Amino acid sequence: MKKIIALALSVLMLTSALAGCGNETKPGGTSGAGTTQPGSQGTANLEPIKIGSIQDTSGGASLAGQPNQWGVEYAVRWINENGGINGRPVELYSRDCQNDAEVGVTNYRELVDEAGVCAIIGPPLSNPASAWVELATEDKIPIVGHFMDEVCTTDPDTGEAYPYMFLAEPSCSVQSYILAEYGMNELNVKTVATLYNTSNAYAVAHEGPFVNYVEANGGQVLARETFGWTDTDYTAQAQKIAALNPDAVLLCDYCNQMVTAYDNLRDAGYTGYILGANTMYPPFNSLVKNEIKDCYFVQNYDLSAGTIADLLDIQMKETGTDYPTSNVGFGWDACMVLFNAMKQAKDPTDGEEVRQILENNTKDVESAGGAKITIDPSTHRPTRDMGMYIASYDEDVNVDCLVYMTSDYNS
Amino acid sequence: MSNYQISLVMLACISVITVSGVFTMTSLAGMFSLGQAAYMSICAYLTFCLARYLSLPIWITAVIGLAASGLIALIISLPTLKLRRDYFALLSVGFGQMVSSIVILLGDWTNASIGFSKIPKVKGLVWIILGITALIVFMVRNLKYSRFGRMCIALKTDEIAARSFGIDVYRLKVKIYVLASVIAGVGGICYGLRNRVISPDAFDWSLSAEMQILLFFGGTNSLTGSVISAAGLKVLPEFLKGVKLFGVNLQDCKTIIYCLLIIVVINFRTQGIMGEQELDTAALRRFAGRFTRGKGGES
Amino acid sequence: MTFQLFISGVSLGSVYALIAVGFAIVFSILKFSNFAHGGMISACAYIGYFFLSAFETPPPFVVTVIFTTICGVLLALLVDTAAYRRIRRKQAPNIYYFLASITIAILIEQILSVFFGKNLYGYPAIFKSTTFNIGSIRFSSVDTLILVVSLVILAVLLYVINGTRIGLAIRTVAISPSTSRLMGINSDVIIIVVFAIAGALAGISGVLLGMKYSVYPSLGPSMMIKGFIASVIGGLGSLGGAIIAAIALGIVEIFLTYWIGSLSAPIVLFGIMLVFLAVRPEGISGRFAKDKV
Repeated sequence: MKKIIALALSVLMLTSALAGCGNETKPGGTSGAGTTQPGSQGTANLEPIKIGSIQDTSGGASLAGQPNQWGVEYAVRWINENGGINGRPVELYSRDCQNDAEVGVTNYRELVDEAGVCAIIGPPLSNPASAWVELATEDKIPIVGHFMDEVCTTDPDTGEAYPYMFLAEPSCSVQSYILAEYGMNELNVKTVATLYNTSNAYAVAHEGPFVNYVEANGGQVLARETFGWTDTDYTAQAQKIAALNPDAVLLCDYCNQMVTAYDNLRDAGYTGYILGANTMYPPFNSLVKNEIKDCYFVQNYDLSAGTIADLLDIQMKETGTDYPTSNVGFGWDACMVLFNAMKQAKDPTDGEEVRQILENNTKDVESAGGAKITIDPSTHRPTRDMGMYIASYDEDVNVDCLVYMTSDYNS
Repeated sequence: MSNYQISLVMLACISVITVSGVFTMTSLAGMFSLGQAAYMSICAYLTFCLARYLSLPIWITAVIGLAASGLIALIISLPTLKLRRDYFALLSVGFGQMVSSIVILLGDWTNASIGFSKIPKVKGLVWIILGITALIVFMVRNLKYSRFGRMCIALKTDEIAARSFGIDVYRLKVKIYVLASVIAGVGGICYGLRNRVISPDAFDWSLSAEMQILLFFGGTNSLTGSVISAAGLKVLPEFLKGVKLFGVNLQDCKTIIYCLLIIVVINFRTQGIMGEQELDTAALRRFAGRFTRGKGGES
Repeated sequence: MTFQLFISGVSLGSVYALIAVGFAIVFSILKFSNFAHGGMISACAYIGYFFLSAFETPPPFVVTVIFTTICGVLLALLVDTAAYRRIRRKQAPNIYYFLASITIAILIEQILSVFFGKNLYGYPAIFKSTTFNIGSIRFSSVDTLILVVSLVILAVLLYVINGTRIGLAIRTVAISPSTSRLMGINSDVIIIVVFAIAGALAGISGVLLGMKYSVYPSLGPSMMIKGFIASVIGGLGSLGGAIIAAIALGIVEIFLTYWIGSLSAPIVLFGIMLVFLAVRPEGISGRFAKDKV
């Protein structure tokens, strides 16, 4: 019996491997077989436009990567149902980078060299993205994504934008400035402490600018406490912070660590404001054991209204997700920015032309949340018009978007 | 050859280099470490940071990096190799965590977890990496058949017996450990050159564990087996892209398939796919002989 | 403050202890660190959560723990059959168990994150307040529960191992599986019993850790390293030693983090481990086991 099972297992594996060899050219996610309207423009070239999407769907950040990937797939479905790019359908090739730069490079090479994509939607992760900076320039492949860390879009030495990297949401720095500004102006915070994961680029890229803003605007940073992936408990850090008793504490990491950090802080007797990065959205409220109060965080969209609400409605039904996540909108936004540029291009498959348009002619693209995305040619990031909501949890621990803010601060 | 295929070749080569390093340590001397990725990290960071901040050519800093990882391996091995083997394995995990902490602590230079991406571009990288891989595999092969290698195998089989034959077990272990760490360092440099970004969590203990698993998958006592498994298993996930089975995208399941394959091999062919066999001309001739004689040759 | 930190250290240590006991019980017989234990803890945390949420009115806490424990036992037996039994038949070196267990840990984590990773889950709180005070010292409710459970588990296990016939058999197999077979002990059955005990521990730990933290795929695996350290320092295979080492590790970690920060802590911890193992190679419990790798 066992031998039969073992045999069956190995046969299954062999066939899957073989199937892999055979089907290599098939598109990964939803293929672009949508309803293209043949008669839309006279001499229509109906060859599909191939784009790639690289997201983390099975690695450490898959909780964000899976909705992100869905957003991309849905945007492609949507554009194909709405006439494609000037009549040409879009074909999507999706790859999983497992939050690993090494796999990311392989993914990139395969999409560009084998699948022949002409643009890539990138993940909200900065490690794989910074590996593509030079590759994209060499191959002339525009990459639009959510690598919020500013080093992915501009060279930290010269401040110049990398020619082929584009960000479609406010960078980590902008998000932190907005949060810090709200804290200092509205909540009257004078002293802060931070508690963040030094092993997570996402957290590090938020914490630095936050501290920078507070110090530059007359606030005082009492402590910068850290933890890592293998730490499961932050009690010591929390007690240190509670003893210093700052007006506000900034937490940043992925959602489950935020939950532990929040609980540890409250357990340690800290009663001040707790500010958070945009990972403090649900399910944070359903996971935290302590009472949620005096808790403010940045939020990309008001999830209850606009395109994002419709997207989430469909996504939660299709994938069985229990709660809304902003990441669906990230995938959608990046696609909209890219499609907008491709529509304006004479040849949407020409990376260089699309790049030019992305840089200079990306104006007022409507994001899923209703904000207008205009790419700043000097930074390749959205201009100040794209801001963030400051959100909080109300008495019934539902998200309450308090105010939409933009930031003019620049270090 | 497309750039994609070239990048796969490099991927496989880097895996072969690191697994060869582990081979010298585990297969020859019987030491089990979960911290070899830390040496990749040390060497890669030293090489690329020095190249950037001192504006030195990369081959000079590579030599410095390799020397430094050798030296650190020596310092670490002196106390730890005196301990029992399982304590050594434990300390190797602690060492790995220590190194990634240090990389983050030196964030002003290493750019911490955001990743260090100012890595110079090297022309004809694939040939260099292929050359290095061939050199290292050749070296390890010679080592295995040398007097030194036989001493190591004696030590692995029975430490007390080896000692009674006059082999200085401790010194031998230290030598092997330093050598393995330098090879890991070479792997680290190649990793950086291929991927153009290095980050501390790319070199955590799970990478070290992966190297050990690849080694045992191929066959601990077979260098060719480990080389084949290091290259093959690393590239395997590429064949699963874009394939759907029962409505599940196999791409997401690549690690699952990979793990199942390893479990099956460890269970059904415990000695690894190649066992004790080496794939060389003699083996090929044997195989060809069996083939021409037909099925009768098989028992 | 120092005393408060000490209490927090004990709390954290009790979490590590829960994991270290699971490591140690398997180690005592099979002489390898069962990394798959971390994966099983995650799986059990999910099982417990889904069990709880399957009812309109949540069943009592104890029912959930019992159900999850049973599932943990079944899971452990499944893992044993699928990954370890053949290695045992072939009498392969322990290193193969070790590799198989790491692979199983990665496998379980991946299955959870690919098929169940769309949502994060949290157990409903069972305590009204997350902390309680005795004097000016603050105790965490869940941590205290975990500590009590760890100690109860330890007491039960010590009784089973030292006071029952099956415990005698376990001790015999631990010393020598082949000799014990000559004495008429079915060592295969004993090994399965030990895996079942480890599975039960994973079931209990899964629910407790799920309650303390939230439920996510790397819940157990992220703590494996700590459990590994504690079980090795504690004296390989010694249950009491593992618990003492785990609590000591928790205390040391809390103080190091408080004084020098979480980044420098691993550096000092490495030094402490090195010195400790060099000075006292037999571990805290003073019991010597054979080399495992």
